[in-house]
Amino acid sequence: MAQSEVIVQNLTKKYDSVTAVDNISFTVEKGSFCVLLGPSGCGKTTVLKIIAGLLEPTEGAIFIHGEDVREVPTYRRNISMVFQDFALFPHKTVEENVEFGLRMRKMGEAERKRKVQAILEVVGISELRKRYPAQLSGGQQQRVALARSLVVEPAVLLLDEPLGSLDYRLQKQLEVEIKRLHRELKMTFIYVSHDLSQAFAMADQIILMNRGRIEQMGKPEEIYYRPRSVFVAGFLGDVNLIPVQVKGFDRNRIILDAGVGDVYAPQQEENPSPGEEVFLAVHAESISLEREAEVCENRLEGMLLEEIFQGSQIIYTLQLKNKQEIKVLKQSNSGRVPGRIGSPVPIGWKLEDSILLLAPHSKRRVKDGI
Amino acid sequence: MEKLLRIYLTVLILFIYLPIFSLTVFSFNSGGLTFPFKELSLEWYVKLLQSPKLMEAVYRSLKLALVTMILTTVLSFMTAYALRERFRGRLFIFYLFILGIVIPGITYGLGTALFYQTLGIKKSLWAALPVHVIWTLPFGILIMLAGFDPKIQTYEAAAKTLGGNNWAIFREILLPLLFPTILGTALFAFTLSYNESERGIFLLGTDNTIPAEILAQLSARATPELYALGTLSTVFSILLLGLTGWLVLRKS
Ligand SMILES: Nc1ncnc2c1ncn2[C@@H]1O[C@H](COP(=O)(O)OP(=O)(O)OP(=O)(O)O)[C@@H](O)[C@H]1O
Ligand SMILES: [Mg+2]
Repeated sequence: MAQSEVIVQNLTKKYDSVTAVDNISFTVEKGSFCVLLGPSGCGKTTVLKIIAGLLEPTEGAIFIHGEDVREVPTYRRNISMVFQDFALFPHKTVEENVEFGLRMRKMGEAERKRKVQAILEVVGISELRKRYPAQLSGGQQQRVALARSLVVEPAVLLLDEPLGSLDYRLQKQLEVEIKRLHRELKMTFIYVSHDLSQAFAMADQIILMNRGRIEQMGKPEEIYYRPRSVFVAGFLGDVNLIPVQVKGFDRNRIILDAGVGDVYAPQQEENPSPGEEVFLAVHAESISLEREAEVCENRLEGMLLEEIFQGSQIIYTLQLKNKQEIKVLKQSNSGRVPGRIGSPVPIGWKLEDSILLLAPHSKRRVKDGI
Repeated sequence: MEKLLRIYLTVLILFIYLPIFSLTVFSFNSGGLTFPFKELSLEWYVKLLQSPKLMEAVYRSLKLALVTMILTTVLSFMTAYALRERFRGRLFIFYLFILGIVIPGITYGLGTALFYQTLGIKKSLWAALPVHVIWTLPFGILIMLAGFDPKIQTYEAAAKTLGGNNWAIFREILLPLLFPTILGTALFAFTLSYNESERGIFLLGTDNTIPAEILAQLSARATPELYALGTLSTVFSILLLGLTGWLVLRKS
C-alpha cells in the first residue's frame, strides 16, 4: 500500500478578516506528484507556506512522514521549496547557491562539491557555475532554483508556480524536465499552479481549490471527465454548461428540459427532484455534428456562428435557439463540416457524455468560472 | 533658467564649504585668527597636541562614540528586524523609538540630569552613554528599516527551507546583504555621538567630551588650536567616509 508523505488536516488560515484557507484536508502519497490548482487568490501559496512552516496555520495540523510538524521549525522539516520568483541569493554564485543547503547539513567539502556538480549536470547548467544570479536568464535562474532545492534530497519538494514567469515555450520544455526529474528522483512533489494544462501534464493527483476550499480532488482524468461542480466544469474551459430543468425519469435516464428541447442524462445515485434547475456539462470534443449527430440520444439544432482553425483542431461555435452557445472541438483531419456560417447544423451527444452538476445555487459562479 | 540654477548651485556649494575652507586656512596661519596672513606654519597643530585638556577630551569622545556606535548598530538592527513583522502595537513602538529625534536636546539632557540625581547616579563620561544611544538609535533604526528590502524576507524564507537556522541565516544572508546598511548605520551613529553636546553636557561632570570642551573654551576665547582640531576632524571624517564608500562598492 502507498504510504502517506504529507497529510493536511482541517487546515484553516485567517488573515485578519480574510479567510485565505478554509478547513481543507488532503493526503499526498509518497513519491507522487500532487498539483494544487486554482485561480489566483484561492489560497494555494498559503497552503504551501504552511506545509513549509513559513506560515502558522490558524487551525489544523500538518503531518510530514507521519510526524505532526506543528512544533517543528522549517529548517528541520526535511522539505525544500522552489519559489515563484526563485529567491536565489544575489550575493552568492550559482555554485554557492546550490551548495547552501548541503553546508547547512554539515556535509563535508568533497562530497558537497561532487553533489553540486552532479545536480548542475542534471539540470544542464554546469557551465554557469561561477556566475551570479543577476547574470542569468529567467530559464537559467529557474534551473538553479530547482537544483538548489533538489540537491538536499528533501522528502518533499514544494514548488510555487516555478514556471509562472517564463515564456510559453520554455514553460512547456521545463514541464517535461520537471516531470522527468520527479520520475528519476522518486521524491514527493507538491506543485502549485493555476494552469490547467500544466496540472494535467504533470500531476498524479490534482487538488482543485477555489476561495480557500477544495472543489474537487483526484487524478487528472477524474477531474476532466467527472467534474463535480459548475466551478470545476467551468475551470476546465472546453466544457459546455447548459442550464436545464429536471422534467422526470424514464428507464435509466433523467429527462431534462434545455429550453430548446429535451435532453437526457444517466440516472445518478442521488437523483435531483423534478422541477429542480441544474446544469448539464458536455465536453466540447464529445459533441457530434451533422450526420454523426443523428445517431446520438441527445439531439439539438444549432446555427453555426464561428469556425476557428487551430492547426490540429478546429473549434466550432454554434448557437441554440435560446442564444445558448455551444463549443465543439474536432480534429481537423476528420473532415470539415460542410455547413456555412449561419446555416443550421444538427448537434448531438451520447447519453453517457451528459454530466449532471447538482449545483443549482451556483448560477452566479458559472460566470466567475468561465 | 539654466544659468540661474548654476548660480544657485555655486552659492550652495560655497555656503557649505567656505566655512570649512576658511577654518583650514586659518589653522595654518601663524598669526592665528588675524588678517592678513603672516606665514604658513604648523604652530597651532603643535599647540593642540600639547594641550592635555583638548587631547583628553578627544580621547573621551572617541571612546564614547565607539561604544555608542556598537550599541546603536546592534540595537537598531534588532529593532528593525522585529519591526518588519506585523504585530499589534507595531506602529506605536516605532513612534516611541523615533520620538527621540524630536525631543529638544537641552530639555532631554536636563531631564536626565535630574533623573540621575534622584537615582544617585554620579556624573561621568559613561553616564552620558545611555543618552547618546537614545539620541542615535532613531537614526539607526530609520536607516536599517530603509535597508531591509522586502526581497530579503524571501531570501530568508528560501534559506530556511534549505535547512538554515536563524544564526546561519543571519551570517549567510542578512549580514552580507545588509553590510552597506550596517556600515552606514555605524558611521552615522559614530558621527552623531562624536558631535553631540547638548544632551550629554549636563551628565559629563568633569569628563568633558570634545564638543563640551570646545564650548567651554570658546566661552573664554576662540583659540586657533580649535581650528587645527576642526581641520583634523574634517580630514578624518572624509577619510572614514571614503573608506566606507570603498568597502560598500567593493562588496557589490
Ligand atoms: N499577508 C496577507 N495578509 C492578508 N491577506 C493575505 C496575505 N497573504 C495572502 N492574503 C490573501 O489570502 C488569499 C490567498 O492568498 P494566496 O497567496 O495563498 O493565493 P494564491 O492561490 O497563491 O494566489 P496566486 O495564484 O495569485 O499566487 C488571497 O485572497 C490573498 O489576498
Ligand atoms: Mg501564489
